Amino acid sequence: MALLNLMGVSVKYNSVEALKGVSLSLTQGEILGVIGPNGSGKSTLLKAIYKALRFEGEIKIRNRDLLEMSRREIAKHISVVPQEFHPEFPFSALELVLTGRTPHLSPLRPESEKDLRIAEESLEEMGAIHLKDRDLRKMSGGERQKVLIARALAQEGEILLMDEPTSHLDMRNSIETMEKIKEIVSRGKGAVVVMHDLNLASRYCDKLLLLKEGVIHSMGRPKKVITEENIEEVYRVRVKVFGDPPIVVPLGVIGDENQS
Amino acid sequence: MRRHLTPRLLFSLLCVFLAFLIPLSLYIGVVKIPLSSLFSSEIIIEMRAPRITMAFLVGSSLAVAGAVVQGVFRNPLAEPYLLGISSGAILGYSLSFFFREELAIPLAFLFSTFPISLIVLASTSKEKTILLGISISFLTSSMASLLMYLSGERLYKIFLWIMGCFHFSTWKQVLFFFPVCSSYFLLVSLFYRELNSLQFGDEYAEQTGVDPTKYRKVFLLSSSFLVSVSVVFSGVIGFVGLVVPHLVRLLTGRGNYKYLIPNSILLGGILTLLADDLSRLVLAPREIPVGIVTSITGSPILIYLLWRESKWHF
Repeated sequence: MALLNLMGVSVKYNSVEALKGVSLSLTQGEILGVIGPNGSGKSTLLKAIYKALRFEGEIKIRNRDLLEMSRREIAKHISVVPQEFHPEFPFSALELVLTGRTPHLSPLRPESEKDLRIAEESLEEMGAIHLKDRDLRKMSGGERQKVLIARALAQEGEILLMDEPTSHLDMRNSIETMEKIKEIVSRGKGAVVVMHDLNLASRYCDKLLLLKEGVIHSMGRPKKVITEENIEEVYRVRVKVFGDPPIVVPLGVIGDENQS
Repeated sequence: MRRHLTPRLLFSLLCVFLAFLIPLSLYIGVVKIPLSSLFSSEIIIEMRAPRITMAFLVGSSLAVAGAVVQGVFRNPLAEPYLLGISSGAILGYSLSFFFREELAIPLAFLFSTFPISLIVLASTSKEKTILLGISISFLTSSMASLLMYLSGERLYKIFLWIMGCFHFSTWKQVLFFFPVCSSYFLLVSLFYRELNSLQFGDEYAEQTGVDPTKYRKVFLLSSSFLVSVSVVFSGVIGFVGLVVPHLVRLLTGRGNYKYLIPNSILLGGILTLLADDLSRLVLAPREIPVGIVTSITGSPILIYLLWRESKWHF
C-alpha cells in the first residue's frame, strides 16, 4: 500500500511557481531520492509534504487527505530531518530527541519512562548515545545531524522526509548514515531524501526524482534517471556516467554558447 | 568544562533561600517591630505581608513571561519591558484616568497587545524586534506621560508607580493577582513541550506537530495579559524578565522549559523581593522605586548580553 501520494502538487511563493504539478507515490520499504540543482524546488517539495507550505493539488498519507489532518496527526506519520538547525539556547541532545515525542503526548499526558527509552534507543541507533548530555550548540555539524535523525526516529513516523541528511558528513559518516536509513526503511517505512551527491543517491535510493525548475524532469530507477543527457540538460555540466547503479564523473561545466 | 547545577538542586537551594528571605523582608522597614510580635503586628499583616507577596508574585510573573517571549520570538534579548508590552500597558492605564478606574486592567491589556502585534507582523530579525519594541516603548510612554500630566493626579504618586513600586500593595491586589499568575504558570507548565519546539523556529515546531501560529498567539496574549495586570498593580519593573531566564540557563546549562519555568518563578520572585528590600533600605526612611533598583542592576547585564551577542555574530 502506498504510504504517500502526491497528485499535481504546485507551490507558489508570491507569484513565482516553485513547484509545478508534481505527482509521485512512495511505498513501504522505498527510498525516493530527490535530486536537482539549487533552487529547483527540492526543499519546497519536502515542505509541502508536511504542510509547512500552502500548496495546490492533492497530498494523501495512507489514503487520507493531508489538508484534513491536524498538525499533530501529520507529525505522527511524518518525521522530518531538517537541513539547517541553529539552537539559540542551551539544549542537550537527549532533550532534543525527546521533542520528537511531542505529537504523541499531550498537556495531561507527560513524558513517561517509555518515551525516555525510545529517545535513548534512537540515539543509540544513530551511534550518538555518547552525545546525550552534550549541548547542541557545542556540537559539530555532523554530530548535530545524527541527533536530528535520532529525533526523527523517536517520532516514529512511517514516512521520513530528509533534507540533505549527509550534507555535513564526511564520506564514512555519509555511507554509515545512508546504510542506516536503508535499514530503517526496510522495517516498513518509506523515505523521501533530498540529495546533492549523485553517487550516493544512485547507490542507496530505490527511485530517483530529478527536478528542473520545479517540474519533474525524469523519475524512475537510478539507471534510468542518471544519464549523461539528463544530467547535462538539468545541471548544465558535462559528465561521464557508467555502471549500474550509475557512477557520475564530473568533467566540466557547459558554458554559454556564445562564450565557447 | 564549566560545572552546572542540576535544575532540581537549584530549585531546592532557591526554596531554602526564600524561607530565610521571607521573615527577613517582613522585619525590614522604617518602623522597627520586635521579633516577638513579628506575626501579630498590624504593620506586618496589613502592609508588609501583602507587599512582599506582591513583590514575589510580580517578580515571578515577569521572569516567566520573559522566558516565554524569549522562546516564542527565538530572541535571547526579548522581555516584556523591551518589547513595549509594559509601556503599552502604562498608556492604557493612563487612559483609564479619563474614563473609569475599573477600566484600568482591560485598557492596559488592550494597549499592551499593540506592540506585540506590530512586532509579530513587521519584524524580520532579532535586532529589529528589539528596536521596534524600544521605539514603541518611547512612543507609548511619552503619550502616557502627557496623559498623566494632563490628568492632574498627584504626580509624586504616579511617578513612584510608573518607576515600579510595591508601596501601594494590598491583600485585595494579592487576591486578584494570585489566581491570574497561577493560571498563567499552570498554562505554560502544561505546554512546556510546545515552548521547547517553538524556540527552535516555526518549521521545527511544525515538524513536531505544534501549530506555531496558534501557540504563538496563546503564549503572547496570555503573557501580555499577565504583564498588564502586574503593571496596573506595581508599575514598570524592567529587566527582571530579561535577566532571570538567562541566569537560570547559565546556572543550569539547560534551556528546557520543563526546568526553566519553575526555576524562573522562584528566582524572579526572590530577586524582585530582594530589590524591594533594597529599595526600602538604601535611603531609609525614604523609599526609592523598585524599578530603579532593577534597572540600575539590569542595564549593565543587558549591555553585556548585547556585547556577547555581537561577538558571536560578527
